[in-house]
Amino acid sequence: MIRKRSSSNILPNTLGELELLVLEALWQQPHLDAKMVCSRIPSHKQPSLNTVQSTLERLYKKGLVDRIKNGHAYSYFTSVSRSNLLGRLMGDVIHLLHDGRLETILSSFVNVAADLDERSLNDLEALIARKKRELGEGEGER
Amino acid sequence: MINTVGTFSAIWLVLWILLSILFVILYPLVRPRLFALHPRYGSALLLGYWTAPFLVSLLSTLFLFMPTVETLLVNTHCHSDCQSHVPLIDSAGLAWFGFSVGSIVMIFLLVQFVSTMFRSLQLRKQFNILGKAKGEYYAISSACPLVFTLGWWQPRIYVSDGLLKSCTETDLSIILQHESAHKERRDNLRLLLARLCSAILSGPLARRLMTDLQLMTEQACDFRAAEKHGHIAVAETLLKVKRLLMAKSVTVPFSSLAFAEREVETRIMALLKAGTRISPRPWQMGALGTLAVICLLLLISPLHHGSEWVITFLTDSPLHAH
Repeated sequence: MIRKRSSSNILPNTLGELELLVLEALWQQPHLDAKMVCSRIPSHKQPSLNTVQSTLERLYKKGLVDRIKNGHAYSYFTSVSRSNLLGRLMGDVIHLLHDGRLETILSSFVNVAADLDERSLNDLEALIARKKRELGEGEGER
Repeated sequence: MINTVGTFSAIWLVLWILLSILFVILYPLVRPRLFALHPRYGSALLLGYWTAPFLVSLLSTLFLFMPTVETLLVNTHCHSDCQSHVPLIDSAGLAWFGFSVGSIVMIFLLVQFVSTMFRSLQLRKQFNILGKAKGEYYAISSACPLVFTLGWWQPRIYVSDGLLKSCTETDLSIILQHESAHKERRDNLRLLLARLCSAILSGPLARRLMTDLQLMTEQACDFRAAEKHGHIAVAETLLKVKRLLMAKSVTVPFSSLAFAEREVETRIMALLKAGTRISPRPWQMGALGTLAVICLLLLISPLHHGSEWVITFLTDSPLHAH
C-alpha cells in the first residue's frame, strides 16, 4: 500500500534532475570525488561544487550512493544500479497508474489491473481465432 | 466592482452545478449512443459532453455580463429606469460570498493544473535521463513489460526492455502506432481538461467519467493502429501484452477501479466488432456544433431573468418593477 504523498513528491523514488545527473556520472565512472563528479555533469547544466557536494550528501542519506574517505575528500560510488532504480520507478508508476493518480499524465498501452483470469484470456484468444477464421473464409469465398 | 465580480462568480458556479447535475442525469441515456459511434468521434463527443457544463456556464455568464451581447439576446424589459443592465447582487455580504467561493474554485483548479504539470515534468525528466532515445521512443532498461506515453503538449513514448524483448516487429509496430495516436491526439491533455472541467463531480461519478473517457480514448488509438495493421492483429497484440503483464506479475490486485473492469476485454471486443461502430458524416457533426451554439445563445435570456429572480428572492428587494 502506498501512503498518500504531496504532489511534489508523488513518486516514492522521486529524484531531482541534478541527483539523476550525479548518479549518471557515477554509473559511468565510479569512485569519483565531488570535484570530478562536477566536471562530468553536462556543461549547460553545470552546477557549483557546493551544490554537487550537497546533492551527493542527499544521495548518500537516501542510500543511493556510498563513499569512502580518500585523504581529505570522499570518493563516491553508487549503491544502486541503473536498472534497479528504473525497476523501482516503474513499480511506482504501475501503482500510481492503478490508483488513478497518473491518469492525466500518462497513458499506458494496457491497464495494469489484474482484472482478467487465465480462463478469460483463453476465451478471448479463442474468440480472436474464430474471427480470424471467419475473415479468412470470407476472403476465400470472394 | 465587488458586486459585479461577486454576482458573476455566483451565477457561474450555480449554473455549473445545475448543468453538471443535468448532464449526470442524462448520461445513462447518452452513453450507449456515444459508445455506438466510431471511437474517434465518440471520444471527442464524450470530452465535449463532460466539459460542456464548465464551458457553457462560463461562456453564458460572460455573455450575460457583456452589454452588447446582453442587449441582443435578452428580451427588452424594465426595472425602475428602463436602462440596459446586467443582473447584480445588491447585498455586499452576498457579493463577497460569491466572490470568495468563485476565487476558491479558481485557485483549486489552478493548483490542480500546476501540481499535475509539475508531476508530469518531474516524471519526464527522470525517464529522459534514465532512458535512451531510440528514434520515435525512449527505451527504458527495466524487465517490466510496460509502454506508455508521457506528457501533454509534446508527449513522448517510453518502452521498457522487458516489452521490447518479448515483442515481434509487428507487435512493436502496432504498439508504437497506438502510442503515436495518443501523441498526435494529445490524449493526456484531453484527460486533464476533462478532469479539471468536471472537478465539481466527485467519487464514483468522477471515476466513471474518467474511466469511460480513458476507455474511449484507448479504443480510438486501437482503431488508429488497426487502420495500418488490421483489427485482428491489434486485438492479438493487446492480448499478448496483457498476458505478458500477468505472467510477469506486474499487475496490481483489482480492487479500486470499479468501472475499469475488464478494460482489455472491452477493447478486444470493440476491435472484433469494429464494423458495427457508426461514423457520423461531417454535416452531422457540423449540425451538432451549430445546435450547441444555438442552445448556448438561447440560454442567455432565461439566465438573465432567472438570475434576477433569484437575486430578488435572496436579497428581498423588489428588483422587478415591470
